[in-house]
Amino acid sequence: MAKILIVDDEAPLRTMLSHMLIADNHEVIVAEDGGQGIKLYHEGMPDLVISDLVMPNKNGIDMILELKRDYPDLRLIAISGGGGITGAFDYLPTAKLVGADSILKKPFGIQELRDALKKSLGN
Amino acid sequence: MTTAISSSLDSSSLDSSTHDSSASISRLRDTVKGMRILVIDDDDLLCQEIKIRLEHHGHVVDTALSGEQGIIQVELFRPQIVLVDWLMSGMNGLDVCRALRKSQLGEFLYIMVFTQHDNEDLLVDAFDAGADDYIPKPISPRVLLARIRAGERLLRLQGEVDRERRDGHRYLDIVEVMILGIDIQGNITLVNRKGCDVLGYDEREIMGCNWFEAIIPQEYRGPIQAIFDYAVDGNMEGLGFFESQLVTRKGERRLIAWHSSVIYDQGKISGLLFAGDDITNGRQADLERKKLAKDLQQAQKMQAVGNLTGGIAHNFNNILASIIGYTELAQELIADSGEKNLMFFLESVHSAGTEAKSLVETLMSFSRGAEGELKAPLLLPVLNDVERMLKPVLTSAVQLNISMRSQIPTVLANPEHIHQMVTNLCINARDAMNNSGKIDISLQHHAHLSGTCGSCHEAFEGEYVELRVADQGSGIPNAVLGSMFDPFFSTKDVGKGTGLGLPMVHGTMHGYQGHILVDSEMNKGTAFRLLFPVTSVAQVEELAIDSLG
Repeated sequence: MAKILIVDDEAPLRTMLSHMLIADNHEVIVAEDGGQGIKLYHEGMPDLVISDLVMPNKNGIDMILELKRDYPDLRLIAISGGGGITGAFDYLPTAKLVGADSILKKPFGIQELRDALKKSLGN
Repeated sequence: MTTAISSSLDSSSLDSSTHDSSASISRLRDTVKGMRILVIDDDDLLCQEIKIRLEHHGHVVDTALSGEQGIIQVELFRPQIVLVDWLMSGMNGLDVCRALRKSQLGEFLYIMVFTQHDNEDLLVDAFDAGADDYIPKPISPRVLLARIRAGERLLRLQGEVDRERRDGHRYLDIVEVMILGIDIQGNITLVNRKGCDVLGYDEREIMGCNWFEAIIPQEYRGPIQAIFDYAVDGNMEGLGFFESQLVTRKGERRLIAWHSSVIYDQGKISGLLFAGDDITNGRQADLERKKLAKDLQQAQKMQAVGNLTGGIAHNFNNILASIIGYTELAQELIADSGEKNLMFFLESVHSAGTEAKSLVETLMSFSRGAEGELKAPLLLPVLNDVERMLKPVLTSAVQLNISMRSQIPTVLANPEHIHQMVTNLCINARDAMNNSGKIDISLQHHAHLSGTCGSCHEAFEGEYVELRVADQGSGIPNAVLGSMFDPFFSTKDVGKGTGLGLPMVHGTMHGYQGHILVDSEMNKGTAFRLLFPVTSVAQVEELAIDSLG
């Protein structure tokens, strides 16, 4: 159906998302942080990115900004649990500002994810 | 006799001008080197002769021709030395001595009696009457001058002692420390200016008063009396430094740090001397400093707890995402298999996960403060909604009153948050009242309010709308006041409270830039006062632009 890049530093979450997407017949690529996400995007040219925001090395917001610069038509769903060790700031609204199609607050259900996919991919 | 009197007055025209005031007399004393001497003798000629001789030696002399006149003349002329003839009609010399010693001026007078007696007993009578010396008649001018010199020397010594005493008093008055002396009965024998200032009494009013009764508050009298008795018995250990309150004339309490010591008179304890420092203001400043430090510590604690909570919540959400996600995947996989038990198990995992999710959301509202859409709702309709929602939760014995105490300006808030906060507070109120009593919910506008927040412990000031939830419950113990806004702190039985109600209120209010005041009195009740900052028009517009973007 679609080629989707998952960017998240939490391995269980990457696996779970992969399962969800594969169950719906999507092709999946996974990256562990923003830097790897950019590299895999260049290489794999996915139809859509599902990305966490609070990550080590390169965070999700920076990654979105860089990708948006090179690929203005980028399709992206931002996911985040909100908060973080450094404070309680919620990055989801920021992700929306810098160009995410949808934002999903962790934990979310399959149906929410499917709705977001539908919105981004248009089918 | 008449002429003699007038001549005596004439001859002292210089003196008559000095009778007007004691100030001019003391000026004269400073300018004239000799003594001021009054001669009292009914022998006018003798008076004049003595006057001439003494004036020749630089003294200032006045005369009086009778004892009675002499006493008046002492008052007017203020002599230092009085020479008085023993044998006079009317008051004799010894009568004059006695009268002068009794008068106020008598203390500093040097009195000599002219006498023809050389009988020892009679001479002793003269000294007993108050004479300082006697001059045998007929008067030898040399002896007279020599004895005046002796008197002069004595008076100078007395003057020095007196001056030192006055200087001492002046020094006591200069220092900014209370000095208080008491005798062994506890009567005040000395008080300096600072002591009078602090106490609010005149020196004359307070001197001689019993200090326990006059200035020591009832509850301090016992301990201080004990210290006092111990010291008067000769035990020095009890003395030294102590603090006590005292009551001023106006009834104010002042806190004084006392240094005390024993006064000895000829080897015996004659009283106590206290030097006191008024530390009332210093102590208050100290207490305020300590409170500020405590508030800061509390504020830091709340922030640290907030950060920690944020961190935990983040990780929890990741874990819950897996739990909920995998459960849903599994549910879809077996949806058509007819595995009823498995379906039920998965449904249970899913609903537990969802419950955990809402718990984490509440926790996040503590650390992040309010989120979600802020509106400028009218508060009263929101509260009426709350009342409808709360009815099933409250027993019929709990009465709920909602009132508006003034016109209420708009505030920025999320009506759902208000629902949740008021519900939390009402449930706490219900529990504090053991399910029966009255809960008052009221709204009030404060054009200006300042204070220290009961949860974040920061000082605030400004315009606020107050939403007050007051109960008639058991009140909040002091020990609980400091912790009740901490997440998971609960005084309720395990399973009855989550310990997240008040943290949610704290987080939400501070997300609104608001604050919370808590008034609580044991067995009387508690009022939580939620303070919403009043929305300015500019803020409302900003919010509109934000939501457009």
